[in-house]
Amino acid sequence: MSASRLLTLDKTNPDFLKYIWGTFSAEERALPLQSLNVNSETEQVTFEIVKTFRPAFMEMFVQTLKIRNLYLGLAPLFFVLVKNALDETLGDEILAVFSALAVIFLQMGIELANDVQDHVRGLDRVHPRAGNPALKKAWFSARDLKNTSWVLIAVGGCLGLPSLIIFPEIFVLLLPLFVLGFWGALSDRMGFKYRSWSEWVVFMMFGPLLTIGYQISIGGGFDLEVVALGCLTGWLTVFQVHLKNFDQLMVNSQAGFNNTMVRLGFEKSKSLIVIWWILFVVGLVIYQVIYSQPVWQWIFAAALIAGAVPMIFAVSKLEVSVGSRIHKAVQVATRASQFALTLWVLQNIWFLLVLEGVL
Amino acid sequence: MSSIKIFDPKDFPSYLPKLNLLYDDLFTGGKGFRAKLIHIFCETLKAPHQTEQLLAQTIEFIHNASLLHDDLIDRSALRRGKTAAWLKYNPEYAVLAGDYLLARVMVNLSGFGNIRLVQYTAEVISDLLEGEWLQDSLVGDYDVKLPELDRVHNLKTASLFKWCLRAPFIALEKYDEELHHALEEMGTLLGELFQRSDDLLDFDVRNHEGKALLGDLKSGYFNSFASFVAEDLGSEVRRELKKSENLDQFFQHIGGKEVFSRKLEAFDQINQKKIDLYQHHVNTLERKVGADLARQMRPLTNILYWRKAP
Repeated sequence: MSASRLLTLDKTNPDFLKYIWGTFSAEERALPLQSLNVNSETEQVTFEIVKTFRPAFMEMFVQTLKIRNLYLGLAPLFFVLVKNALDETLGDEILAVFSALAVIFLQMGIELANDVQDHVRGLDRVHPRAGNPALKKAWFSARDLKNTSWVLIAVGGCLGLPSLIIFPEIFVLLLPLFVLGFWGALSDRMGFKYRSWSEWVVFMMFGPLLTIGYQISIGGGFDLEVVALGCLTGWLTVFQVHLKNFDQLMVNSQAGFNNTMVRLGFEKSKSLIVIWWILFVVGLVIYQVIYSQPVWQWIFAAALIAGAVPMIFAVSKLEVSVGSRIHKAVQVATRASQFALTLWVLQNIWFLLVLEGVL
Repeated sequence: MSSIKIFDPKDFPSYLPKLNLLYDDLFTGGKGFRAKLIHIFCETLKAPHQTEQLLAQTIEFIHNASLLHDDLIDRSALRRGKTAAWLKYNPEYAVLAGDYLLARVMVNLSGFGNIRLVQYTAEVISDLLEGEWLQDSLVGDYDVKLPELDRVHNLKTASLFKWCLRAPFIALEKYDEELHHALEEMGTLLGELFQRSDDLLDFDVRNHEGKALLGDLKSGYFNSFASFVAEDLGSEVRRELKKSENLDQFFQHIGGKEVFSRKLEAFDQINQKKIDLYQHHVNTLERKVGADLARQMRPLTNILYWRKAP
């Protein structure tokens, strides 16, 4: 990096938007440099001007679209699909595939739009978790990603259109999300993403709204089980949000984010994580008691309790909010949630194999 | 130093002889680098002598209060080649003397009447203490990463550099946002570079002052360079590093002196990028304040990171 390749611009500068959106050049990208001064994102931005770089396609595809996060939407869809296959309430299979693809495209599109918003608002300069690798590594401009996000959302919308036409009641479920999405896009510099109640939006998006909507779209109608299923998947997703926010408690607190972890503080956040997980374990076991065979109740109860012990121990004994110890505790907790989800997926694969007569 | 010691007649009353002795001990031998930085700015800005004296006293008092407390927390026996205050007197006196310095800062600054300066100074003291606290909680953490240490150093070390650069402007009620943004970033970079260079002394790199080697590591603290060297090493090796009695053993643990040299080169390279960024912000200072001040600020990275004589 030579000094001539650095550029600081005030947000009132007429060229500022060209640099932040990356439209100033086709061959170069302007990378906003990270700053440790968490309140410095508002007025001036220092850019490093670098040549556009394109890595291998797969790396670019996987990281830009955050493929690793897709399981959050796919797992609930899979559970609903298997449930309806078992209940013999699966209507049109093509419609089921279209709806699932719609969810995948919408999730990728919304995440991308969020990353662009973080970039434009400057949050990716001060928050290590914010932003998209494609922007931080000069693969694409913010404008490219914004356009891509619109394409993904449009494709998702088109794929979901047949279900919406056949089952217009899904509109009622989607309406609150549209309203929140618009509000988020138009709100102040932090948007709603870094506020406490956004966690409940995540809960609804990856929980009841997703499972109920998907079941309706595949012709399964509405029942209590799909609500319970959604509550559990939403609860699990918010658990992961809490873990990320807990891991970044210091930065979030300094940056003035108002999420639940910041509001509760370190000690109470530890308690919330443990209580959140215990409630999930209890909820999932009760779900198995009501909707599954006795053997699964015992398998889930034994496995989840065994998996919870190291997690509760790691989180409870934590004394500092910085350094590697908090990351390790969060890793243990993340592994516990991944273990629970894997077990749940395996159970559903088992059901499918039994249904198909393989077992 | 006497001009820094007494700003107000009530500073260091003679009926507290031990406090005066402790203070004189502490200040003798210090380079007064931060006060010199204040002088450069005040001279350029043509600040009244009283203002410069107040600012110089403030920064030296805060810095020395942190040293008094730091030595006690770290159980360091020496400060500037002499017995540390907590050992020479006792821990209680060292704590009280540090508290007294901070209290005098607030008394004198509030008397100056610039509420923004008082608030900013209080924030810096708060950052400093947060940084101290966080750094202490990282003792024994052998897997700590460089970006996490940077955040702690930004609070603990860089906050005072930021204050030195911004406070003269605030004292003179010059609040240009673009300028303060540049000064804030420059202070952060200077603090970071100074801390990283200081951490290198532990490994006998540019150690012209003859500082004791491996002090941080032996006390269980992975400083920025140790953390950088260990980034590719497994947990077991990281724990072994702590047991290094001397540099040869340290080299052995990380795979030889060549590995150390390569790591040092890479470390210098990432810091050179920070130096380039610092110089870029000096351009803003030059445009906003003048070439003379910029000319004096440019060599600071040579002094603070490369440890070259001014």
